[in-house]
Amino acid sequence: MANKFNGKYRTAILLVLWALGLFIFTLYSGLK
Amino acid sequence: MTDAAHGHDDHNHGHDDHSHGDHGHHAPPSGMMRWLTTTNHKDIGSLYLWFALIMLFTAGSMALLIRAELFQPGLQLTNPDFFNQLTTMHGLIMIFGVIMPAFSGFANWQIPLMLGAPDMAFPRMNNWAFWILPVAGVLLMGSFLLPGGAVAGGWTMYPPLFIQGGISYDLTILAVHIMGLSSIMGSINIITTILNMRAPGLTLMKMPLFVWTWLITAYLLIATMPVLAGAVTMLLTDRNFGTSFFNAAGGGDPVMFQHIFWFFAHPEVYILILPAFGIVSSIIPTFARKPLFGYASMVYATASIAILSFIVWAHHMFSVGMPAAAQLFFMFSTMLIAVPTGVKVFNWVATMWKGSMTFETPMLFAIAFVCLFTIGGFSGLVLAIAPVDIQLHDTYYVVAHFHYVLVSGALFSIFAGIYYWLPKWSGHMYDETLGKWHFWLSVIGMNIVFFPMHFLGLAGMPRRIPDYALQFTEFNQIATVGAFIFGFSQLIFLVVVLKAARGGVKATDRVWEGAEGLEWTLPSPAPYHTFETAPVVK
Repeated sequence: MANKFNGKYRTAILLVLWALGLFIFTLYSGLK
Repeated sequence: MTDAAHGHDDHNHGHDDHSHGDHGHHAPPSGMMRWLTTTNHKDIGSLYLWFALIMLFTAGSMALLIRAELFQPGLQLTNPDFFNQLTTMHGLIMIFGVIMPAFSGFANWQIPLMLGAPDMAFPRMNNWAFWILPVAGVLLMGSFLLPGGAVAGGWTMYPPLFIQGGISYDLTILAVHIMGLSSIMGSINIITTILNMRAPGLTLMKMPLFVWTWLITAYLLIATMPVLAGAVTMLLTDRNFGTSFFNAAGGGDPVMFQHIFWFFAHPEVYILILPAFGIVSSIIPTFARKPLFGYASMVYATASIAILSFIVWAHHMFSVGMPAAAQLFFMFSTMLIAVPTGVKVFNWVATMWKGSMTFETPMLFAIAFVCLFTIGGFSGLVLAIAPVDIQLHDTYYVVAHFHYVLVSGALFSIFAGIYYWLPKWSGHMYDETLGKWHFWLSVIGMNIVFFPMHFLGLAGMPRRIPDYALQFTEFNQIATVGAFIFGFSQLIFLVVVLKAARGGVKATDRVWEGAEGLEWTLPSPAPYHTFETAPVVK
């Protein structure tokens, strides 16, 4: 069972990076 | 469907599962500490649902105060500023404090049970995602007590109003950040659970549709909540640190806020309705005693709605002014959403077609959902027509439209889901007679409140005003009477839930004759720990 769940950290880290990137991009889009 | 190698562990006490190797080595916390420290998906699901219920009555009371004020023209109960505070907080709390947490409650309870997983992928983060929500709730509600009162600029938080208000505006921005963070943590947990923790044999296209709709909703959340966080961060720096993102006096652009906000908020609309589609798609096959018609097309329709939701945002802004080409683009892209939505409505009707239907309370709410949500969808099509929207923008027609979508859509699906799964959660059948009373009073009350609002809007009554011209009086009085019928009938729901939580007729494992899926292979109530050994799905 444990092996099956190893992928969860990779999925979560990718999602966190995506969210942070989108947040920063939104702020960047506010700069003219 | 499954080798029922299901939950064999039926001890009912808090057992923190942070260490899989040391079962029973320390006493589980009890009382308040159990709920504060729980990492169990069922506990956290219950917490979300109770939180949503409390917030439903809080924001519902505000709605009743709004409707009482609007019973006749002139100012009776509120002053204009307090009225605006009520409408703003009613919207913010209903969206972020009721509908979203309620769906998160369903997700926490049902996704692991439907996937044959022992819990969510990140149980501790799950605990955090819930427990920061009450903090946001306190910030929002507490702002009523501050000088100047709560925020009054509308739930859409448009500058310049939102740049000019008092301290409560900063607290609201903080609360929105917290609620957004909670949603992002929740969506990471849900995506990770669904992608990594399905039972052997449970391929994506075998998942219950509720899980599919939540997977797509979670992607929507993680694709939009950071945008909202960026928007309110810019509001915060405009207010406190001298920037001019949206401040026209400093060279900023208030309309840019609207673009960024609606890039978040239109997908948000689907965040509020896709899980409802999932719930209804679970209930209708059960009570029609037929498999869901067009499962694959339901999945693709859900994904299509989610993708389209990113290219329609400016239909909220037709009256701001934009090139004709942009108006046409956003008009037609919005109308395009009717196609996958129509696929869904067709499939629900086709599922019922020639089924052996019975009409228990969950099915009644699900059927009401299909009929009334469709009315809300059609009025959305009307509003999508740019020249018509110029007339109807910021009128009660819009209020009627989104309440048909969110009350008879999202809220009714939540009622349907609670009646449907409550026996599995509590182990007791709910009171069917009271449930039917709740349904009929709700469905009649809801239509009396919101249907006349179409006429008010077509006649030109603007939204967000505490006073109105005399010719709008009759329809407003009808709406207010309906609001009190609808509002007080929710007390019946409270009684039903409390009764079932405390006792009642024992529910069977399968509960409903036509129910299919892994969760129904478990005992009722579902044991505290389930699927510690994964079932095999054929």
